[in-house]
Amino acid sequence: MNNVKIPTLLAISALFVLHASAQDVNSLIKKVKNKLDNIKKYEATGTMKTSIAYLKIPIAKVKIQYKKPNELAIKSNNGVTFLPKSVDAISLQKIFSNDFTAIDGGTEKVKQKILRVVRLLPTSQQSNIVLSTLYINEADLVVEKSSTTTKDEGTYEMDLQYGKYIQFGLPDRVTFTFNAKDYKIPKGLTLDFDNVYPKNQKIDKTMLNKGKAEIVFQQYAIN
Amino acid sequence: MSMRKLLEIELFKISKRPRTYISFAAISAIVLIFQFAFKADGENYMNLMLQGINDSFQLDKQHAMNGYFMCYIILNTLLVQVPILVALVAGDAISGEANMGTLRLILSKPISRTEILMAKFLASIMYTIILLIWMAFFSLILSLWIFGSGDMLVFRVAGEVSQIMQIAQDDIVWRYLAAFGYAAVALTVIVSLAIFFSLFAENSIGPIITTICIVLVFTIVSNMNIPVIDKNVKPFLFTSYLVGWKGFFYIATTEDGIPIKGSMENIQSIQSSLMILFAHIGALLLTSMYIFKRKDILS
Repeated sequence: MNNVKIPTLLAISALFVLHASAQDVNSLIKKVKNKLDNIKKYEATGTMKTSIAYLKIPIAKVKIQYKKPNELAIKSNNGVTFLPKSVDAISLQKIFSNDFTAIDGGTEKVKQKILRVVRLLPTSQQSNIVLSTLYINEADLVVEKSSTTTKDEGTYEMDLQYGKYIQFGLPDRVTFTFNAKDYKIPKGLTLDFDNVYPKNQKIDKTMLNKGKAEIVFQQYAIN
Repeated sequence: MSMRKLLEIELFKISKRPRTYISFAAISAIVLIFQFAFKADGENYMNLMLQGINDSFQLDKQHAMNGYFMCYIILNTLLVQVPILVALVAGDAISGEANMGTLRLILSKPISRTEILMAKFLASIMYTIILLIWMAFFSLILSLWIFGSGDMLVFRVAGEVSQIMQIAQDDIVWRYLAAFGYAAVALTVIVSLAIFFSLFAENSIGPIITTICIVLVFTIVSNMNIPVIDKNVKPFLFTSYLVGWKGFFYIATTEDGIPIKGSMENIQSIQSSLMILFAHIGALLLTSMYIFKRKDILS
């Protein structure tokens, strides 16, 4: 009889622990989401530096507009600006707008901080997001890092740095890494006769399919 | 007779030839056709140039297709054809006189053969410069009026690498001035070559066709991507340096790939290309003078 009781008790305890942990994570996500939900809209100015091996473009001045529930628009004042198509994913509200199941991933040391790792699995089959992993600063209730895998746009990662707008859960700087296609055009279209890439220019071939957008927010106008 | 007077006479002669105006008409027609085509369906061209990028980036293509971009596209296509138009006039410089039987008459005047040749050479250069100004007006000024202004995109293929460079609006005009200046030097090589061949003919068709053939054959070889030719032949062909004007638009960047205003990626390459072009001009002109001075004028 005792032989049956012990595993059953262990299983019940494990379930209890898991349930308690899921509750913890759900409550943590809810707190982070609530913090962001306090913002009805915001407008921010800033700069965006886009880096990918084949683009040699200047730092763009951008205007970021957000409106609840998850409308985010990034506009440039320069006229000619290459905006990564998936850049609207910098809005965390977009991730939270889907129904999801949260799974506790324990803690991890990132940027000299102990962060709670939470994996979000969308419950809807229609969701473009397959999996989001959030690294949450439990003390400040902000997401410091995230990695999101989508059906259409591959995986993108975000690194968020906070400053004076931390009480709103809004970052001062977001580094957004995304997948991009390699760029090749036939020589006949450009009529270029050079056969070699200039020796004084280095090309990082690992950056041909990986782009990085660094957005620095200079000023927010909230609500 | 002063050099200035001689030059005026040569310019007057050029202005009286109907073939002089063929070039202006051809350039106007080509540029206007380009502008019409891009105004009507430029987005398709932009999509072609941005293939692959469209999936990853958003870009206001209408804004990108501005007057500066249009001028670059037009020059890229047209500056390969302009040598033919320059040869039409310069190839006629001596041979035209020989054909009409006026060469002997001119040489009987108390003017040195060197002065006559220099006057013809300078008049042909002036014609080339006026042609370039005409081209600048149509391809740049008119394009800016039709398409507006803005930052300029430069599409480039170097070796295996394709790239897009963006030049800020306030960093473009000097590049065009420099590029047109470079084009003037490059076309002066064609002038020198056409005048050189003009010495050996008694009608202008021969030197014009010969110059055009040389330009075409050399351009084809310059376009080949064969390592042996790249190393052993191309450096010796003047056509390899005719497109050097593009170097003014290859902007230098920081290590992060941010363009540096007012910079050029490889200024040494432009300088050496210019030196080679000047060397061609000098060599052809001196050889022409040497031959012309010793030539028996029979027509």
